[in-house]
Order: sequence, then structure tokens, then C-alpha cells
Amino acid sequence: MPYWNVHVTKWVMMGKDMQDDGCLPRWDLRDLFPSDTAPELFQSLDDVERDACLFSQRYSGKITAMPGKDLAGAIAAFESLSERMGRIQSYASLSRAVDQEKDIWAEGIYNRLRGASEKLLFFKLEINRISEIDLLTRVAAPGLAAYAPWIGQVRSFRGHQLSEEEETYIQQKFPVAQGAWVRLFDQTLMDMRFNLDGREVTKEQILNVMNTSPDKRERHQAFAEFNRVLGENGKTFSLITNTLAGLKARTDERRGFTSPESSRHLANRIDVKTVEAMAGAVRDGYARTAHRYYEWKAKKFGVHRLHPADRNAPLPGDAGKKIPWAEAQKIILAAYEKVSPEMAAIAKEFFDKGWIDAEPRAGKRGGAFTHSTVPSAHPYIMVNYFGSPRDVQVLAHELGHGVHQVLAARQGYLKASTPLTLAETASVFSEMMVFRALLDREDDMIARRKMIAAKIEDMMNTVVRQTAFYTFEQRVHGEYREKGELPPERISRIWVETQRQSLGASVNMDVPGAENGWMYIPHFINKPFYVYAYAFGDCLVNALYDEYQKAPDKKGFEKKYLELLKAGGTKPHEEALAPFGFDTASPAFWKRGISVIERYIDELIALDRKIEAVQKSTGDFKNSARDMVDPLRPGNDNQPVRRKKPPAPGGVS
Amino acid sequence: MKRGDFKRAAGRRKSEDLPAGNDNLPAAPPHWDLAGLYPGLDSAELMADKEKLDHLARAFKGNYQDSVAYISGPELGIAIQEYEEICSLSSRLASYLFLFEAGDMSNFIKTGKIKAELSDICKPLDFFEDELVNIPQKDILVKMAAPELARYAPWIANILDGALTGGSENLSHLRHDFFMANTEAWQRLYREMLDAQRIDFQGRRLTLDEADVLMNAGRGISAQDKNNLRQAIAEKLKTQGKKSALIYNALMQDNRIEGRLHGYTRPDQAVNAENGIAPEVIDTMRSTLREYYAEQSHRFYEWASAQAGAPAASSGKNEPVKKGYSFDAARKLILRAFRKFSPGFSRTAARFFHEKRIDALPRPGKESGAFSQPVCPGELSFIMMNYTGELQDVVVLGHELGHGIHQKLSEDACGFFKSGVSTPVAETASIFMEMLVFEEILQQEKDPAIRKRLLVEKVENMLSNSLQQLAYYEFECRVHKERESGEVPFERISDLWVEAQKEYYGPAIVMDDYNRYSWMTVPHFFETPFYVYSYAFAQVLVSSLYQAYQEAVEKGPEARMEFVDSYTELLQTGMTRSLHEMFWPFGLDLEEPEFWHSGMSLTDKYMKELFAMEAPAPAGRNTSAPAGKKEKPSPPSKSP
Repeated sequence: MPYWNVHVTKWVMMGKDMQDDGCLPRWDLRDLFPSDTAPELFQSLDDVERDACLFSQRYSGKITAMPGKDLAGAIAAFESLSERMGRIQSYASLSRAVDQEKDIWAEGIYNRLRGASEKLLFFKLEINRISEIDLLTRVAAPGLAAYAPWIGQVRSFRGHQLSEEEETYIQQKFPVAQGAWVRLFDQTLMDMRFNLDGREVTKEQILNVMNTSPDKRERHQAFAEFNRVLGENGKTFSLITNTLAGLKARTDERRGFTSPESSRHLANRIDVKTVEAMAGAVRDGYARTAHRYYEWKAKKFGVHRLHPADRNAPLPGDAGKKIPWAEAQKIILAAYEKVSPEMAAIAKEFFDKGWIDAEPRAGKRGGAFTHSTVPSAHPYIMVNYFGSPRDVQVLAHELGHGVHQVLAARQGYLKASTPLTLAETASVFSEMMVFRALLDREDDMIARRKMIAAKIEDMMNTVVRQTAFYTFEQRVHGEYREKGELPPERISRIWVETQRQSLGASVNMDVPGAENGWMYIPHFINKPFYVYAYAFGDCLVNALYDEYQKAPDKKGFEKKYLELLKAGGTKPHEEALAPFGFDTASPAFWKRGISVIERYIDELIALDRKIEAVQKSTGDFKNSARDMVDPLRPGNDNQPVRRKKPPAPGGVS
Repeated sequence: MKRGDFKRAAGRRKSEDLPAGNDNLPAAPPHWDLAGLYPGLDSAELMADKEKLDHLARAFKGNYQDSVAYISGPELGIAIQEYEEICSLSSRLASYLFLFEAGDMSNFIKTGKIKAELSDICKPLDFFEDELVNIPQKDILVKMAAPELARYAPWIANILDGALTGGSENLSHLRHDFFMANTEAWQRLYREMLDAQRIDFQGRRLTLDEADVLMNAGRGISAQDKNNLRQAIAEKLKTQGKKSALIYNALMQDNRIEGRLHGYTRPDQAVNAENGIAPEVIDTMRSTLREYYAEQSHRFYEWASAQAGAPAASSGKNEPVKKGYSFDAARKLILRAFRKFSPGFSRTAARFFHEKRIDALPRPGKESGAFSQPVCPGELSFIMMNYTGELQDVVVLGHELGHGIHQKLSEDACGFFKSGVSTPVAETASIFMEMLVFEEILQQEKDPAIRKRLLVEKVENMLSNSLQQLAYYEFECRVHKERESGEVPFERISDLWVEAQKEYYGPAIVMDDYNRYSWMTVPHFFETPFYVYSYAFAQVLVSSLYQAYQEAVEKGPEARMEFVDSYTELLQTGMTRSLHEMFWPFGLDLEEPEFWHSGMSLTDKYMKELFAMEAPAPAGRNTSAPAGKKEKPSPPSKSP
């Protein structure tokens, strides 16, 4: 079932009042259903439950022998049914995202959908049982050829599929196995309480202090307390990690996956060679990116080695001017217009038609995401907008997803979903465009330095840190398979080693508690090996953006770019990227992506020298880094602020 | 090897400290000596057996895979015999690991890898039982004419009964995987959660077990402190409520999924099948025993409250009469009680002491509770308990020795495979021996105050073994029923728990938060759902049996000898007779409500004797066994 990767940012927790001049929009979900008690909603639930039964009665056991024309009909029926289920599921999760009180209501709906999707499980399994020859002779049938990319994707799991009784068993067990361990993880973190100067605070609150407090002592204290409590729960986190590694090892073995990463690579439609080319290039670039940046930052903070809690601490200077909602809209649409009028037109719809929920309020989830919903409706975007330049970039990022999803929706429900490797294309791209636009508007050098540093830190957290996470996971899973259960101290050891390797000597991993950092990272728990996709996406888009900037023919670029986005799930990344001449299997390609980061660091250091020169000449030391800090900048300690569309119900993989 | 052999037996909790009050013990209770099994975890002997097992398992697979249905009756008999030998070896290894862990819980991390290896080594054997159960019924009946095979008939019947029908071999492997990797992990999490709790009390940091022991201790703690401690435990439990509910909900649903695959229609059916008891018999028990709540448990607690002086909460004020037993004194007393019944029993029991099969010394890191763990043919069982010199400890030691003797008798008579018995039968020997030990103590005791206390303890024990376990079973039935339509929230589970306890205790006991959250401390609910009714079943069964013995004693030495012979034979049957057949010679018919009534009448007898006593009010309640003393779930303390 859908499991969202919700990045809870710090703004909401800080209880900062919104002081936007105009009203911030809330979304209008009536395009999906009239209300959460509407008869239409429950009628639709009844309908899909009934239709799932009928579908199973009609087709179960008959797929392998079916003529091509009928198979096309069956897939069309499956698509329409899945889309109707997807609509209900989308509505439930969107409603819940802005109102915590709807948890139980939504859980009830998910339960019913789960029951219905269990009935459809046979379909993909049987499609996989059609022999290669049979399929080739049938694929020419009217209607079937159009589904070829989807069939191909389903069948990529063919060699790893178990019998129907085993698959059913695994699906039934999921909620009491992997699913329940993930819930335990979430619950454990949520129920943790920390002591800050005698106050009892939650995880969000303490992380907020740790990442954004202007007071170094406070940050370090929060770090110590946070890690102390994590450590107390170390046995639980270790049991969760080991149990999930064990379940994965056993099911992987049954499915014939040779390495812990294999199943993820297959789902991402990527080969191990490409991933290793990417990860290898990032690792080779550690010294030129992270090591260099943190060395500079340590110097700015006047220390030899940065305390881990200072790694994301903001540089001096204020956050830049507050940007009202209407102005943010203008900036973003103007940036879009420059690249593609077609995309700008779609983006405008989001603002005009109530597809965005931007108002922070009690009971609403923190962070931001875009939900594609279903092709017969449109995507929805949720952000918490407070008006910082950072918020504008987040909004631009989500709009990129939204526009991408609108373009891909034309492929229909089954083929719309973009492979993970390309899912960040439009979002990161538009974030880049808007970042540049914002930077151009800012003429205060210190604010500019702060913005660039924040951008670099985003990239560090997305590219370098996620690659280090990936290495960490490889080692933990690998060692589990070789030697069995890893004690908590051993996992911590691997954590420290991989962190030190990626961040360099300028970040002090010897601070007590730093070894517990692995314990609270949700991706290790709910999406093993997912993390590399962030680094992959970011590097790839860096190269793409570089290509755009250098392209002599901008119109030609736009055309290719739109094609890429419209392809949705119909093309694997190498095919979709071919028109740009990208070879993702080659380390040289990835080096190009990484060089974009290096150029940002160059730009930062050059700007910094300029500032220092000016300060020296005017004797202005007021803005020394140690006592000026901007409380508004979100810390993004663990995950980049990227989101992925939640998987549709009924997925088998 | 049989699936689940690595599964731990239920009902034990670990303690990290001595319960208070062992000051008058002259000699320390003994450690066991595991070196006779293996010199150590890394010993060459253990490695050699592991390799031997690996070799045997693979050879066995090579010889028999895909042919089990086609070989002749005599050949099949020989195959089963080979299989039995391999399983004995694997049992020896597994038992050693289990005992190694029980003596020091921190060994758990050391044994993980080798347990996983053993599990892998045994995997090649999985085919055998799968193929065996898939032999057409007609064929197996024809083959059964061979004497080599016929002697395994009860074992085959047992395998057929527990078999998953219609599932493929792949599915059963998958289920095994999920059991090891998921179900057991939840159970471990549950254990670790309980172990991790600390209660700050008067400058000490107590584990839950320690707090429980202290709360139930007669001396050294005021009633007010007991109450504070009780509240502190309740509060601590409450903080773990959501986590416990998550674990419990996962395990209940897990039980349901596995049950459905077996084609079970009731959630308790796995236990019923294992016990060889028809569901109708359980239903008869449930409806018959319920009638005794008012007559027995309500009345007893009302009396006890009155004895202690209202309000009930103040009962702890009365210091129980303390009588300490050194371990040596306990040994003599038990052997004497056994000898009076049968010299053979006494001789076997003596071997456990001489051969260092008992680990009775409480120490940090050792599991709490008590058990008797069989190893393999030719080896006496190992007994674990925590001996602190309380009267109750003497009784517990008698109980475990009863298990040990039973295990020896049935293994000698039936061999490894057929020696396994269901809980009600297993408890028959242990509770019966416990009764003998109790009567011996009672007869010796002249002090009326102590006699009164002994009777209070006995009645309370019998009630908590029968009616309270029934109330626990009621609770499980209700909560599992609700789980069918979705997750049961933490507070709702607690509501159902309070409800079931009220039915048992009646109006005399007021429910507080401790009663409300104590379901979290009963491991059976998490590890062996519905198992608790087996205790009630066994208690009533033994009560009936014991009355039959009393009658035989009254009739004269000949009748007594006849009873002892029949009883010894009963302990030798293993799984070769059905439950019904086993108790037929004693005139007990389990299918009749009358049987249950007669069992409950023994409690009546003791209660009458107690209520008639004029001795000064002794400790009254709160003298019950400290939590986790026995394999049965300990009753949460009664006083609010």
C-alpha cells in the first residue's frame, strides 16, 4: 500500500505565524470526490470491490490462453479498475495529508482497497506465465501493442516471480511483516521524548534546534541529547534493521535475486553497471566536493573540525527578502516561460485552479509533496509556504513534478509513472531555474553567499550523502548475508566509516553519539536501496541543466526536453536520454554532473573572497559567522527535499 | 527436524536479581553442568556434531527425496528410523543452545549465527514430512502392515494432523522463512521490550520482574510502598502500551493467516490440534467452568478480603509467616514425598540431583521462571528454576521434577518421536507430583497459622491454574475475535482484559491501572496464543486424577498399588494413545461435563477446610507465587 516518504520540515514545528500579504491557497479536492462522506465515494468503493471480484471471476486462470485482442481488453479493464482504485486512494491520502484527524477514516479505506487489490494479484502473475513465443505472436493484436511497455515492465520480474500461492502468502504477510516493522520504526521515533533544558520535546522539535539554532551550544546540546535517546533505543533499531535485512535476504533468495540491491535496480529499470558508474564517480569526487566544501565551512566556523551538528548550520546573513505568494508565482512562471511556454501554461493551471495547498495550519503534514493522482484528474501539490527563498525553490521543485506528471498522464494510468531514475528530472530542473532567478534578484553579497552555500549543502545532502547511505546499506546487507545478525555497535561502526569517507576529515565523527546517525533514517527501513536514486537524479539533471545552458538552439532543447517528460513510463532512462547524447553507463557522464557542484563551490569561494576583501577594507566584522544565523532556513539533515509519487495500489513488485 | 524445534517454550521471564528474602539459606542452590552435552559453544565436539548432522541430512535427502511415496512399507519404516536418529542429533544441538541461552540471556547474540546455520543444515530434511503427508491414504494404510512402519503409526498420525493440506513444498519453506525471520523477531522484540523496562523505586532501578517480586514479597515493604510500586509498574507498562499493541496485533493477525492456510476455522485450533483435543471438549470445559466463578473464585476473594480487613488494598500489611527451606531440605522433602508414592520415581528424581541436571541458583542474566528441557534419547532432561527458599520454590521444584520423570519414562518406552505429549498430559505428571509435595509439607506442618497459609496458597494456586487461566482464554477469544475486523487499539485491548478479570475475581477486588495493563506481561498471549487453557485443562484433569488416587489409598494397599501401576503406565504412553484412552482406565471421561465438576470439587474440599479454620488471620492474599515462577502465566496480583 502507499507509503509516503514525507519529509517533515521544521517550519511547521516552529509554529511560525504566516504573514503573507495575500491569502495562501488551499487545494480543492472536489475534482476527485465531493467530500469524505459523499455517497459517490462509498459507491465507488463498493463498485471497485465488486468489480475486482468480477474481474477475478472472469479472467483468473484464463490469461495465458487468451487471444491477443481479448488480452488487450483485459488489460484495458484492469487499467480502468486500477485507476478507479487509484482515485479513491489518492483522495484518502490527500485528505489525510492536511488533516491528521482523518487517519482512522483513511486507514479504513486503505483496508478495503487492499482487499480489492488482493483479488487482482493473479493478473500480473498470469501475464508473466505467458510464454515468450505466445506473447510475440499476440502482441500485434489491435490494442495490445500500445500496452507493450507496460507488459514489458511487468514481465521484467518474470524470472523472479513465485507461484501464485507463494505470492499471495507474501502479500498477506506483508502487513504483519515488513509493513508492521516499518510502523514500529515510525512509532518508536514518534514516541521518543527528549529533554532540552528541562523541557520535554519531540523529535521534530529537537532536530529543529539541532539544525537551526543560532546558538552553537544549544545545537551541540540538542545533538548530544538526541543521540543519547537514540542510543537508548539502539537495540530496537538494530532489531528492526536486522529483521528487515533478514526478510529481504530470504525473499531475495527465493526470488533468485543475487545481490541485496538487485531487486531495486530491476524496479528502477537500471543495470548494476550504470549505478556503479554513478556511485563510483560520486565517491571519486568526494574530495573535490564534500571534503573541500566542509573544509571551507569549518574555516568559516573557526574550527579545525566541524561538529556534526554544525554541518548544516546556516551561514551568517538574513534569509533574504520575504517573498509574497503572488510574487513567488510570478518569479516561477517567468522562469518557466523562458524554458518552455507549454510548461508555463500548465504550471499556471496549478495556481489558477486550486491544485496547490500552501497554507500551513494545525493538523497538516510538514514538508512538501506532489501526488499525481490519476490521469482522469490532475496532480495536487502540498507545500507549507512561509515566504523564504527556500520555500520558493521547494514550490518550484514540486511544480516541476506536477507539470511532469500532467505531461506523462497522456500515457494512461498504467504507463504514466516515470521510472525513479527520471522522476526528478523536471523538479530538479525547475528548482535550478528558479534558484538562478532568485539569485539574480538578490544584490546583497552576504545573502547571496548564504543562498549559494545553502544550494551546495542541498547538493551535498542529495548527491554525496545519499551515495554514502547507499554504501552503508550495501555493507550492512552484505554483512548480514555473510555473517548473520549485526549487533548495534557493528552497524554504528559501518556508519561512522562511510560517513567519514564521504564527508572528509573536516567533519568530526568522533563526537559521542555521532555513531547513532543511522538509527533514524526512514529510507533504510521502508525503502532499502532507494537512496541512490536521489543522487542519480540530481547528477543527471545537473548534466541536463548544463546541457541547456550550453545549448545554442534553445527551441531544439525544449522539444527534446518535452519529449522526455511526456514519455512517462514508456521508455527506460537510457532510451529517453539518447536524444541528448547522454551515456549513463560511462563514468565520464557522471563526472560532468559532479562538475556542476564543483562550479558552485568555485562560485561560493570566489564570492567569499570578495566579501572578505570588502570586510577587511571596511573593518566590518559584525557578520562573522559564529554569531549570525538565520533561523528560517530548514535543516535538511537526512533526505533531500525531493518527493516521489506514492505507488498506486495493486502493485506487485 | 521438526519445524519450530528452535522455538522457545512459553512462559518464562528473565530476572536480573535475587528476589528478597533468601537470607536463611545455608547452602547455595546448584548450577547445572552442560559439559556432558558439549564442552562449549566453540568446542570441537559441537562442530563435529554439526558437520555430522549436515552430512546425514544431505545423504538422507539424496537417498529418499521424491521416493517417499513409492518405497515399500518396511523401507519406509527404516527411513523414518533414520530420520528419527537425525532429528535426535539435531535436538541435542538445539537443546544445548537453548540451555546455553537460558543460563545467561546475553548469550543470545552468540547463538544467533549457529542457530541460523543449523536451520539451514536441517532444510534438506523438509521434503520428508511433506512427501509423507502427501502419500495417498489408501497406500499408507496398505504399507502400514509392515511392523517396521507400524510402530511409527502414532507419529505419522500426528504429522498428518498438523500438516498443511494442499500447500506446495515451496510454500512450506516460505512459511518456515517467515516464521524464523518475522514471527520470532516479534516475539524477541516483545521480550526485549519487557527486559528493557526499569522502575525507579526508592533509589533503586528495578526490572519488571524485580518490581513484581518486591511487590509480592511479604516482608520489608510497607503496604503504602507496595501500592506506590504497583502504580509505578502500571505507569511504566502504560508507556509501552502502543508498542505492545502493535506487536500483539501483528502476532494475532499472523496467527490468523497461518490458521487460514491450515483450513482452521477457530483461532485456537492450532493449540487444539497440538493438544489432540476436540474443539467441542474445549467448549464444554469453557461453559462448565464458567459456572464456578461465582462459587469459587468470587467467594474465595471475598473471604480473603474480609480476612485481610477491608479495604482489600491493605492486605499487604500482614506479614506472611516465613518458613525458609534450604535447597538440601527441599531435596529431602521431595524425595521422601516421591518415595511414598513410588520408590522408582524417587530414584529417578535423585539422579537429577546427582548428575547436575538442575540449575537453581538465581543470578543476573539468567532467565526467570522454570522449565524442564528434554535433550535427546539417553539423556536426562535439564531443569531450570530460581530457588530462593520460599515454600513455593519447593513446590515448583517438585513440579519440574515431575516433568523430568515423565520425559524420561516416555522416552525410554516410546523413543524420541513418539515420546512427545500434549500440554494437558505433560502437566499431568508435574501437577500430580506437585500435589504429593504439597501434601507432604502440609502433613509435616503442625503450626495452625502456617497450615492455614499453606491452604490459602494451595486454593489460590488451584484457582489461578484453573479458573484464572480460563479467564485468560476468554480474553484471548474476545480480542482475537475483534482483530478479525481490524486492529484492536491499545485501550480497547485493556478494556477487554479488565472485563475478563472482573469475571474471575468478582466484586471483592477493585480493578486498578495495574490490572488494566498487566496483559502486556503475559508472554503466552504473544508467543503461544490460546495455550493458557491447557493449564486449566490439566489442573482439572489432575484434580480428578488425584481424587481417584485418594480413593485408591482409602481402599487399601492393593488398590493403591494398582493406581500407581496404571499411573506409571500413563506416563509411558507418549503419543501412542489418545487423550480419551489414556484416562479411561481411571474412570475419567473427558467428554462429560461431570468430569469437570468432579475436578472442581477438589478445590471445594480445600476451601471448606480453610474456611473452617479458626487460626488467626495469616497473610491472606498476596502470598501467591511471584510472577513467572512457573510456566503458567502468573496471575497479576490481586490487590488494588
